[in-house]
Amino acid sequence: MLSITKSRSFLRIQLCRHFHSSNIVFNDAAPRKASLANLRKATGFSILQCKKALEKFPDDMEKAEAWLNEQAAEQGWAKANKLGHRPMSQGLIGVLKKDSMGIMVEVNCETDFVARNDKFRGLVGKVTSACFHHVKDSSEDKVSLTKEALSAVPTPEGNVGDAVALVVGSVGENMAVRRAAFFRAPEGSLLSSYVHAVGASHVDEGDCLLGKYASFVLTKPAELTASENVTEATAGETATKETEEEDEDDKMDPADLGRRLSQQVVGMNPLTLGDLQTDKPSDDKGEETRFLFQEYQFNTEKTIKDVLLENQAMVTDFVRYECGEELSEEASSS
Amino acid sequence: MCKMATMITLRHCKKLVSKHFTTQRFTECLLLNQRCLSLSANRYAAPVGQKKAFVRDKPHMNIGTIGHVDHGKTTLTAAITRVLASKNKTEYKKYDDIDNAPEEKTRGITINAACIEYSTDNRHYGHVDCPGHKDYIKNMITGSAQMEAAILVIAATDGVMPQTKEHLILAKQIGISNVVVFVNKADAADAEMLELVDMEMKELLDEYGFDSSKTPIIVGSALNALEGSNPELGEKKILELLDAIDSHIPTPVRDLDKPFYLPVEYTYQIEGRGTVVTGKLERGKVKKGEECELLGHDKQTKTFIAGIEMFRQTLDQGQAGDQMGILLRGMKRGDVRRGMVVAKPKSMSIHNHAEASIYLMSKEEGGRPKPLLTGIGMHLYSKTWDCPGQINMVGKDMMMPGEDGPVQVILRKKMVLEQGQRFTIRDGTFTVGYGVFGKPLAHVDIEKLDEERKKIRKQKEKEALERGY
Repeated sequence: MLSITKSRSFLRIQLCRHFHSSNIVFNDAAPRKASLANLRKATGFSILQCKKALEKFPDDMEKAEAWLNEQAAEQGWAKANKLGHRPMSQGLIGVLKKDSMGIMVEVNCETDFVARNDKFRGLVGKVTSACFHHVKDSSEDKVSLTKEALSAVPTPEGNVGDAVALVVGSVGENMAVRRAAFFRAPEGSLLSSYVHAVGASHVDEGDCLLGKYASFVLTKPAELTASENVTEATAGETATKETEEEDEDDKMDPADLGRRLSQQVVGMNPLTLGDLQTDKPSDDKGEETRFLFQEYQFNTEKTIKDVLLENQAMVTDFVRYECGEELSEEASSS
Repeated sequence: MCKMATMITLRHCKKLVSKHFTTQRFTECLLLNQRCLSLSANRYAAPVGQKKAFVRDKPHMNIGTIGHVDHGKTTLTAAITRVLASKNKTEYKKYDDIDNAPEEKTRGITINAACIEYSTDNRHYGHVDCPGHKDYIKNMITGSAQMEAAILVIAATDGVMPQTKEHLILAKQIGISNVVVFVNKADAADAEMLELVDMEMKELLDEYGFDSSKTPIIVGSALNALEGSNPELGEKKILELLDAIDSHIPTPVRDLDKPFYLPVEYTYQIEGRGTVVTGKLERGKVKKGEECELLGHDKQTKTFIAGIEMFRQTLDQGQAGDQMGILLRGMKRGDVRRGMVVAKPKSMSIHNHAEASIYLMSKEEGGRPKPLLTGIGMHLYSKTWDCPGQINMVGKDMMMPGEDGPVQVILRKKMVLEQGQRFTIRDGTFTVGYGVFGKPLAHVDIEKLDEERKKIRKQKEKEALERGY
């Protein structure tokens, strides 16, 4: 309580000063009021900040705005440092997938109110696309980025750290980019993704999809598959589609299969892939954490293994992010 | 401010801990739950030991605070109790007591909420404060502390924040049509700033469908009120705020004044006299000889009340809250069943299709570990009825444990349901989640639905055979 009083009384002293200076220009208060409102609208910074800017540049809106923007990053960083110890369990995951490449980036904030806000969503979209461009030319097919590395990723205006600080400054809540995973499908493989948002369906932000859960799954045709078989499967699929609403059919289009499997990864939260040759299915179906042995959530009579055999495909890798989840080692490295 | 931050840390730590020690935590929570139950039972019953008896002398209303983390919601709540403590019997709650409130456990669901009570001259208030959007939603769906009105707190120094919009959307979503705005930290702002906050606030209120010209906006300082300094901005403004709440927000219609409504618990056949149904009269008053309607289980029949009995004594009139037996004349065996409703004619209706909002319990809360897919069959329990139903999601095909969202429910039978009625979703013996009904939708022909489904299944089997599986 003491600390609150202290900081508030400090503010009051500061404001007394403001009162003094504003008294001098009180006769032209009306146009100033309008410019304060306009400045707030244009920049979105706190009333106190806008007022300071106008006191520095009483007649020049442009300069005041420029000054505010200049201060913003600095202010944001200061605020981010001040709020740094507050825990962040909310946020969003941004997913950007282009052809054979995809990235998912987790950005955290403190409350779910902010996670629903346009400014925060804009930030996640921006950070995701910046990270995508940063790693897309990498020679590796799978890249994980840590908190530190992410902060230095360049954006059109500077770097990710600055972009975050700017939004921290205007939203007044702590935020951080936590982790990122990049996948590139090797020749012959297919990269599929699934994004799951709480409430309505996932949100589009530019080219990105935002959500609370995200997954990537890499599939490729299994060795047994001959090319004729694949075409046959596709033909069968289109024939059944005409008569059915739901395509809970045995054979699926590779893209559909990939999507279903990605959704399965989000839904059933497997920890490892499992090995068909050496591993045995667990006795308790509900506790199975190896993807290949888990029951298929769209038809619980089957396992993933059955589905893959029917479709003559194999899963080679997957990754799953749940926003705000606690990270154990196997979860972060999978 | 620093202190507040550490409090938030504590609150979050608790969450983390609960994730770690799931099972231990769960038994603990059950224990806590028991204690809560006995506590509240005590509060409403005759005084036991040293517990104070709850005196029901004023209309009750639930209110809550919403606003940005640093804008002073908790300070305001503490200030309200402090100011009222000096006026009447309200108990003063310190800032730390409110901020440190234990996680609310309602039917096993963890809700982060601080609940306190206070009374003005006109009303008794239950006051809820939650840290997150989801907590308010859970509150709404489980109905543990339904908010009927909200105080939106805005700091004059910051003004309307980007997420203030989300606060108003939330208020709408949980069914609040009346808000009162408190512009806080006026001691740290000047007239110009206050004017701007007022302007911005009004603009936002209008944009989200609240009438800004009728919404009271009170400018003051919760901190001043809490410290007892500067009464012009402090205490006086708090009283002004309470006045505004008292006068601006209408008291909800008392259950006693609504059309009568009794969900049937048990039925007994009495030779030569008729059928007796028992249950608690939830709303209104019921008189002997009055016309009534019996609804539920696909049926809707008119009859009249031939007699009312309570504690083996006959009476002419029963009122909301009474546990009673009603004698219905001219009913055949099988006409009346548990889960039906005795109500004033035309006041209730039966439906088998309705909108709803549901919350699926997380694994930690004892929910199912797997997600729910759209179209899944579940067993629904509401009031005294239970019925198998289908849950169709809106705009998505999967819901994760711990998630809430809008759905459409199709019941196998037409049952009495109305907007705001709560239900439990169960899968076998497990409770999966909770929900609250929204608008009823057009009836679904269940037989047709079944036939279509059968057709699809047959078609599939045929195709599978053709392809040689």
